[in-house]
Amino acid sequence: MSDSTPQRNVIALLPEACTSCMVCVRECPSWCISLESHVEAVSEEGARRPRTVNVLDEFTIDYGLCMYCGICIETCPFDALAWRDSFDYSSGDRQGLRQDAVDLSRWWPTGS
Amino acid sequence: MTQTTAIIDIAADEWVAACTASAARGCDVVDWLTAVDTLESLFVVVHVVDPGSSRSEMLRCELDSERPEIESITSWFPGADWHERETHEMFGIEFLGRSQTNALLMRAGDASSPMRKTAALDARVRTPWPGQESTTGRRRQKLPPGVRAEWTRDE
Ligand code: SF4
Ligand code: SF4
Repeated sequence: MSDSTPQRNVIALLPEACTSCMVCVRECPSWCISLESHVEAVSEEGARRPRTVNVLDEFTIDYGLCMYCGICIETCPFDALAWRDSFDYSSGDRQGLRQDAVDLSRWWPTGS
Repeated sequence: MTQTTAIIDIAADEWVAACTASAARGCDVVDWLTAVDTLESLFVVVHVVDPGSSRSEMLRCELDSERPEIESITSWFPGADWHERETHEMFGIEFLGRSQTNALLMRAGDASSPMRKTAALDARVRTPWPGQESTTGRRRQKLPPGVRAEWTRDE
């Protein structure tokens, strides 16, 4: 393990990479990830029919329930989740430990 | 560095003798004690270590899963006290000859033994599973993983 390997401190989300496949949500043993998405049709030049893509609306991790097992990161088929070293996100109340897609994506650039 | 410790199977009536024999060989500190429920069998397992050499032994004993009970080792290993309490609470195993086995986490009188494979996990049945939604519309999973159909039958 090199020194640059992030510790299990916070989970970062790269929303552009997330396909809303629900794999992490289903595999999480603590049931602390929730996700909402909708389907959009994308027409491409030359394609006979528009392609349908999932568009991520909301992605939340409840750190009050998360046990930092890393299963979500391991199972994501699109590498949209990763550990980051930051741990400065304590909160005085329960709701403050729920991080949405904006909160989670802010961690992404902070580490390796 | 991974170190593997062989598991030694012990008969229930030799449990205390086997544990004290391990102590006589130098492994006289209880690292942990717990139970393992495989649905077919129920075992109590203890890991004892020699703090001087970091040598360790793992002793295991199969119990009657209907009426699980075994002699307590706390008279010889005071460090087993907390582990026996927890194992009693989570797996419903009676440790015989202890002074007291008061509850750690669960409400007094709740004998549901939540770590037994047969125990229905009410909270899991009642909490909406975040994985229920399907983005593809197809192949919607009816029950979350780990929730057995028989738990939900009389809802
Ligand atoms: S680390 Fe584990 S508990 Fe936390 S969100 Fe990921 S899968 Fe769930
Ligand atoms: S497993 Fe990855 S791609 Fe799928 S929903 Fe979770 S974060 Fe998004």
